[in-house]
Amino acid sequence: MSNESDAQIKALENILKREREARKKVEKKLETFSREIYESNEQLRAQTAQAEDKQTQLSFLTGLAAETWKKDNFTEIISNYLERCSDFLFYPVCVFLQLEVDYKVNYLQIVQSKNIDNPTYQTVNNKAIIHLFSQLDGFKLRDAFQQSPESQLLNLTNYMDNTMKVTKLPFCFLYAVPLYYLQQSGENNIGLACFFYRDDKNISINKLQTIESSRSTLTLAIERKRADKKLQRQIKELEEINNTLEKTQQQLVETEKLASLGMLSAGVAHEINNPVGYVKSNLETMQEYLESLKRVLTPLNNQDTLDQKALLDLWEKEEGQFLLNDSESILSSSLTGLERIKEIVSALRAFSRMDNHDLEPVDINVIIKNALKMLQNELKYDYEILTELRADKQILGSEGQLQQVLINLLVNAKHAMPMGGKITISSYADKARVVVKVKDEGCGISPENLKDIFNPFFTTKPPGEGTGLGLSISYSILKQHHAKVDVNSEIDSGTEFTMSFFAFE
Amino acid sequence: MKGIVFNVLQEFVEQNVSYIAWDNAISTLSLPSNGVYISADNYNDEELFSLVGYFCEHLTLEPSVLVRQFGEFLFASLIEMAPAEAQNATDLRTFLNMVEHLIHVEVLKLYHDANLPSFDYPKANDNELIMIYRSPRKLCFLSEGLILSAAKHFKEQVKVTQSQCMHQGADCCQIHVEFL
Repeated sequence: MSNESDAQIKALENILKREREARKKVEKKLETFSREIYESNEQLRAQTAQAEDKQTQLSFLTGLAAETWKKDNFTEIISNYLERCSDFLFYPVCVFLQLEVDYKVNYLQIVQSKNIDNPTYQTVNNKAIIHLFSQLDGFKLRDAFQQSPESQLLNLTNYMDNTMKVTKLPFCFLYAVPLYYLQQSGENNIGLACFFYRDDKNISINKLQTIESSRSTLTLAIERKRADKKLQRQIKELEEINNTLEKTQQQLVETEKLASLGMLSAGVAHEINNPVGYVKSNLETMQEYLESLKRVLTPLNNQDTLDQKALLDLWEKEEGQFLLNDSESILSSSLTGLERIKEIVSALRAFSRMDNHDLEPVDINVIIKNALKMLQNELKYDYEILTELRADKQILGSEGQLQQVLINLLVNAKHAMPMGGKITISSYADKARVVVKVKDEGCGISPENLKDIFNPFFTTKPPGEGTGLGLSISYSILKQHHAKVDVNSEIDSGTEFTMSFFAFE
Repeated sequence: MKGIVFNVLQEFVEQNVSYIAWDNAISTLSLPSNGVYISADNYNDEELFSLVGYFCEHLTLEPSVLVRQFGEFLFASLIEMAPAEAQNATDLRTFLNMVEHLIHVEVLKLYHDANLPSFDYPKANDNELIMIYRSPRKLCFLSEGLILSAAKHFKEQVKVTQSQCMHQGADCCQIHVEFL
């Protein structure tokens, strides 16, 4: 029994010994754990601080980028940049300047921080800064950036002009950020953002590196702004050129009109001369008739010697009845002739009116008739003109210009049938549109030419005969009238032009 | 093998055999750890096999029997450490399904160096659950013991058998839990 107790005690002692050893190991392990936890806590704290730092830097960078792209012009970009940097860097004095090729300082822009309650805020009046810049050695400063085009933290005393008696400096350090290099006669004007520090207490190298990181955004934005400006200038120039072009085009339309007027003038003159001729001859005949009638009627003046028989004889002799009858037809024929002259002149006037191109409600049928009148002489011998003018709605248009288009189409139709032929002109209303068709039975247009007929200077006529402008001008006039134009043509069968206008209701 | 298994094995022997038996085993076997076990540390699997071998010999028990009994004993310690969701499982089947997908996942969060067995759950019918056991330690009987103890914990009657076993040369053990 005692042996067993001893054995049990011995066993328990051994077990206890092992338990103690295990406890010591656990305690040691615990110590190691505690240390590790402490260290990882410290690490975490440092990382948090670092992350916060990064966060500030990131928000500075993203904020700056977002605002920079929104700014309208160069000055605003720079002001915003200086203000943002001033806040971020804890209020150094921020200045922008351009270091010119001749080492002079230009375009000084100084930002005084808004937060004047901050103890680190450095007040220096603008005068002092300008004075400081006048004492800077521009050559040395330029040289520094020619050596290295990145941002630099400079000890200000090294960059003062030794030839000048420099008084005590208000700053010790200058962090200079080159924002652009603008080439001028082979050398660069340097745009520098400068941050001045009294001492090195507030300088954080990390933050200065962030400023350097933001440089490319600024540089890019400034370049873009410059390019924008250039683009705007070019757009303006283009607009001016376009205006000139439009004016020239207008002049071209008028010139073409004058050309067709010239071409038509002989025919129109003939059309006028013809009635003028027979009206004149009619009037001459009427003059003779009047003489005869005078002879018959003069005795009526004297009541005392009035001899009815002699009067009747004279009436018979002078063929009084014929004179009266013929006079009637002569006068009516003259009136018809004058009416024709009046119509042609009015058609001519509508056509040649150059000042008024405003669109107003017009009757396309009247315009077609006027065009035909102008061409009467051209078409009256070998050409059969069929008109089916059924359009009963007006359209918005310029009478003179539309007449020009129709004359052009009719003249083309005539040229397509040099030996004469049939030309059909029709008009009709189709829902909200008014359609006009001009159809000939001439030589037709080949498919390869068809795609070019509206191009300026395209002509199939021999050199010197066609300008190649007629159809292109007609087309541009029709476009101004918002008309749809279709051409159907078949070789040796004919061509049909269809113009569809919006009806004016 | 984690130290906790050795700690529980020690308790198992002390309670079911004697302090002397445990002390004799440790003194006799001259194990690398000298029998000093910290629950969270890892120890060579061979130490466990030596201890099991020692007790089987001294108690004249089949290893499968001893290991199964130890498994039943071990459950009480392990369930205390299991995540609350597993502790609050509604029934045994739910709990067993959580072994691979919840309990082992949580264990690995705490002890990334733990060498856990893996379980697969092939489709089975309503009154049976099949668990495919894979581990180079081939401690399928420990799993059997744990399942039996878990059944008691959930107050369920089960029959645990194996249709194939790594000890018989199979590449995995197929443990059938039949719900009675």
